[in-house]
Amino acid sequence: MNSGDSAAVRTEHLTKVYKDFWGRPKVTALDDLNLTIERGEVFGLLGPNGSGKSTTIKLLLGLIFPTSGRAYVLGEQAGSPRVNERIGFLPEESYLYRFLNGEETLYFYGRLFRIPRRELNRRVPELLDIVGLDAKARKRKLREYSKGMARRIGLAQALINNPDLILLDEPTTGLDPIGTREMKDLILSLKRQGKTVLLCSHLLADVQDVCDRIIILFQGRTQTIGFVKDLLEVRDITQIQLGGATPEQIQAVRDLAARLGISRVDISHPTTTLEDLFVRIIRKQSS
Amino acid sequence: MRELLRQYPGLLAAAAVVLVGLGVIGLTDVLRFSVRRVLAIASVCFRQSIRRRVLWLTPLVIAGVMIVAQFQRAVDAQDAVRQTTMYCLFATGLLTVLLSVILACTNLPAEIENRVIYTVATKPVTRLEIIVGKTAGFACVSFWVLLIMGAFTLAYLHWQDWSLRRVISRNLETNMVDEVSVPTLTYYRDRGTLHARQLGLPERLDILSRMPADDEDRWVAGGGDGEIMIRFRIDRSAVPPPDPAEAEELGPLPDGARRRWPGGLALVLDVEARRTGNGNPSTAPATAPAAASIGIDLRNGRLESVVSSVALGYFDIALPAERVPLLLHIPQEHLERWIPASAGATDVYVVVTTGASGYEYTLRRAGTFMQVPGRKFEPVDIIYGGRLGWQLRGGSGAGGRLAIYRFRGHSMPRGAATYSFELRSQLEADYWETLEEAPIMRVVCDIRNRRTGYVARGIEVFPESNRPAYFDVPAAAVDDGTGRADFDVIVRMTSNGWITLRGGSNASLKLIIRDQSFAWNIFKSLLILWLLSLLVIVISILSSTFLSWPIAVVLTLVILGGRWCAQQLGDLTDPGIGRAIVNDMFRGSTAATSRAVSESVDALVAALRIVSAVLPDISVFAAIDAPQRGVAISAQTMIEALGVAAFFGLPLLVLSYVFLKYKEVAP
Repeated sequence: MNSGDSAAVRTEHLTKVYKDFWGRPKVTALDDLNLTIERGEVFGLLGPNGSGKSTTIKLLLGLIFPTSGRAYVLGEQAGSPRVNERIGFLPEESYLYRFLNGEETLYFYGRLFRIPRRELNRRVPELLDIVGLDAKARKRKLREYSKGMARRIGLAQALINNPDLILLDEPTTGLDPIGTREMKDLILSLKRQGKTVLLCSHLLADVQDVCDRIIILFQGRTQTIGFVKDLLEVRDITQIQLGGATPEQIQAVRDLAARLGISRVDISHPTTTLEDLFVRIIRKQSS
Repeated sequence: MRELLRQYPGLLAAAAVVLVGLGVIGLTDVLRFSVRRVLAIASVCFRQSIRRRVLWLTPLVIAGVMIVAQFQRAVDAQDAVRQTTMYCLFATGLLTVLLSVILACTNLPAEIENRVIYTVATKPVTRLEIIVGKTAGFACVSFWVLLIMGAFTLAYLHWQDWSLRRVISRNLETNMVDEVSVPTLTYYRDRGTLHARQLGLPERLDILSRMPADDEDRWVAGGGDGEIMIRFRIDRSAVPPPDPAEAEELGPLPDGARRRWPGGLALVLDVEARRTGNGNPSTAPATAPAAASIGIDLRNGRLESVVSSVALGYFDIALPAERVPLLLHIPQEHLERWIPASAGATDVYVVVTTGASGYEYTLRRAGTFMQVPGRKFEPVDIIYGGRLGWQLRGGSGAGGRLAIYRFRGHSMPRGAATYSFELRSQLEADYWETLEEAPIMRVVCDIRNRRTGYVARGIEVFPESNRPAYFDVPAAAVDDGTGRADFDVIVRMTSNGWITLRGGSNASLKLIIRDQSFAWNIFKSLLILWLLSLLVIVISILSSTFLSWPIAVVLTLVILGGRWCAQQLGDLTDPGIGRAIVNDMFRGSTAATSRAVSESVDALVAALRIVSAVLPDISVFAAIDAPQRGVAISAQTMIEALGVAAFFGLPLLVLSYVFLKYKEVAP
C-alpha cells in the first residue's frame, strides 16, 4: 500500500488476540476485520461493549499491535509516526495532562507536530474558540475542568494539526445536548472540508445523524457494514409528507389509498426529536 | 577481535547494544529524531514535577540539615565545617537520587495507567523521543534540586566559616588557646576552613630503624615494631594443581635440593638480621637476648590476613656470617584460601613481622621470590614499615628510628615562597603513661631535596590526634626549579610515645600543592551527583518500561546498589567459599552432601559475582568524600563518573527505547 491509495483506512484480516502472562490466548478482541474507509466520509463504528471498537481504534493508532493481518492509514502502515502527522485522535475520555491549562495543553501538542510558533499562536486561540472554551477556562488547569470542558479541550488537541483523518472515540460522552449538537455540527463541518472522520459511539442517534457509512461489530466480528441510509431504509413502506393539509384533504388521501387497495395506511403528525426541542428552547432563551 | 573481546567485554557489549538498538532496530526513529519534540516532552515532565511541588522538598531538607548540624560534635573548627559539608552533600545526594527514582519510576506506568500516553503516542512522536524527552525532563528537575541545594550548601558553609574564624581570631588574640594548637588555629584564621586543596601524596612510606645509606639499605626495628610487606602478583593459572602421582620437579632452590612438587607454592625470603643494641625496653627479655626471628603472615589484596604467622610458624634468622635464605613451603590448602583458584592475576602480600628485639632486620630483594615448577614470581614492591600499620616510636629506646616519605613527580606550581604540609596522625602514649599525662608530642621533620641537595632541617611539628597539623617549609626544599617534585620528608619522633603514620592513598603526610576555589569544588561535587542522577533516571525509566512502578523502584535500587552490596560481602564472594562452608558447618556430612553444598554455594557465589560485575559501580560517583576532606575533586574522579554514567547510561537508554518500541501502551 502506498500514499496513492484512495482509502483513508484499510484493514486486511485484522485480528487481535489478547494473551495472558504465559502467552496463552485469552480473548479474541477483533477477528478478521476487513474494512475500507474512503477519504472524505464519516464512518461509524458501532457495537456493544467488548465488541472490538476500541481495539480497532487502538490498532489503527499503533497503541497496540495486531496478532495477524494488516492495517493501513492514509496509505501508510498504521501506527507509524509519519502517518500520525496527519491524524487527530479524541480518546473516549480526555486523557490529558491535568496539571497543564487549556492553552498550555494545545501548545504542548502543537510542538509535537513541529508547528511553527507563529502558526501555533494563531491556531491555539482559534481552536479554543471553535470548541467554545472562553478566556477564563483557557487559563484553568485541566484538573479543574468539567467533563464537558475536558471533551472540548480534547477535541481541540485532536484538531491542532489540521488532520486529514480524525478518530473520535465516543465524542459526545459527557456533553450536554447543546455540546452534542455542536459536536455533530463540527463533524459535518469537517466532512465538508474533505476530512475523513471515524466515529465510534454507543449513541446510535448521534451516529445516525452524522455518519455516511457504519459497521456493526459484535464479539470482535463484523455483523454488517454499509451506508446508513441503505441500512435503515424500510423498503416495503412508503412515507408521504403533506404540508398544511386539512382534515378533509387527509381523508381524501385515505380514501384514495383504499381505492388503490393499500391495506395499511398510517397518517399522523411527525414529531421532532427531543434534542431538537431542547436546543431550540435553550438557544431561544440564550438569544 | 577475540583479544579485544577478552579485554573489554563490557564495553563491547554496551557498544553492541547501542549500535543494534539505534542503528538497526531504531534507524528510522533516529532519522526522524527531533530536538523540538524532545524538548516539548521534557518541558512537560519538568512542569509536572514542579507543579507537584517537588522543589518544596528542598527547604524541608535544608531545615533538616540545619537542625542536624546543631547537634554535631566537632573536634575543631575545620572538623565542624567538614561535618557540615558532609551533611549538606549527603542530604543533597540522597534527595536527588530518591527524587529521581520516584519521579522516573512512576511516570511512564502512570501515563499508561491513566492513558495520557494515548494522546502522546498517537502524535508523530517516536518512542525514542519519548524516552529521551522524559530523561531530559527529569534531569532538569534534578539539576534544579542540585542548584538550590548547592546554593544553600555554599551559603551555609561560608557563614559557618566566617563565624568560626571570628571565634578563632578572638581566642588567638586573647591567648585562649594552648601552645600546641596555635599553628593550626593560625592556619585556620589566615586561610579559612573551606578548602579545596590539591594534595600531593607520597609515593611510598618506609619506617626504618635508622637512616639508610642508600635506597637499598632499609632496616626495620625488631621486637615486633618492624614489618616488611612484600607484594607479589600471582596468576593462579600459572600455578600447577597438586598431583603427587605426576609431580613435577620444582627446580633449583637456594638450599640446593631438588624436590618433587606436592602443590602449593615455594616461598624464598632472603632476610637478614643484625644486632643493634637498641632493645625495645617494653618487650626486651630480662634474660639473654633471644635469637633473631621472624613471623610470616599471608594477606590478600585488601591486606586482610588470610593465613597468620600462628599457622605458618616462626623462623629463626641466622646472623650475617652464616646467613642462608629462608625456604618455606605454602601448602595447597593455604594457597586456596590465599589466592582463589578462579582469580586471574592478583596482588597478594607476604608480610614479615620481626621477632626478637635487639636486632634490626632487612629483606634483600634479589634473593626473594616465589616459585612453582616452571615459573618464578619476583616481588613487585617491598614496603618497610612498622607493626600494626606504620607506627613510629619515640623516646630513649627508639634509637635512630625514622619515617621517610618519598615525594616524586608531582607537578609543582611556580613562584611560591613556601609550601605547606598537612600531617594527620594518631598518637599513642608510651606504656607508662596515659595520653592525658603524656608530655606534648613532638616530631621533627627534615626535607631533603634530592636534586639540589638542599635540606630544610629541624622543622618542629606538634601533631595532635583527630586533627591535622600544618607546617610550612621553604620552597627550595621541595622545588628544584624543574617543576617536578623529587624530595624526601624524614620524620623523627622526639618525644616519648608512638605516632601512627600512614602511606598509600590516605597518607598521613600530604603536600598542599595548590588551593582551588571551594565553590568550584562544590560545583564539581554537584556535577558528579547530577551524573549519578542521570544514571538513576535512565535505570528507573528502563525498569518502568516493563514493570509496575513499585517493582520498578525496587529493581532500580537493586541495580544501583547491587554491586556495592556484593562488595560489602568481601571474602564471602571469593571462589572456594563453598569448601570453607563445608569445613565449618558440614564437617560430619557425607561426601555427597558436602559436595552438593560446596558446589551449590560456589555456583550461587559465581552467579552473584557475574551479576555484580555487570552492574554499575556507583562508588565512582565520589561526590562527598573529597569536599568533606577539603580536597579538590580530581579530573580523574570526574572522568570516571562521566565514564560510568555514559558506559551504563547510554546502552540502558537504548534498551529502554527498544522495550518501549515493542510495548503495547494501551492497557
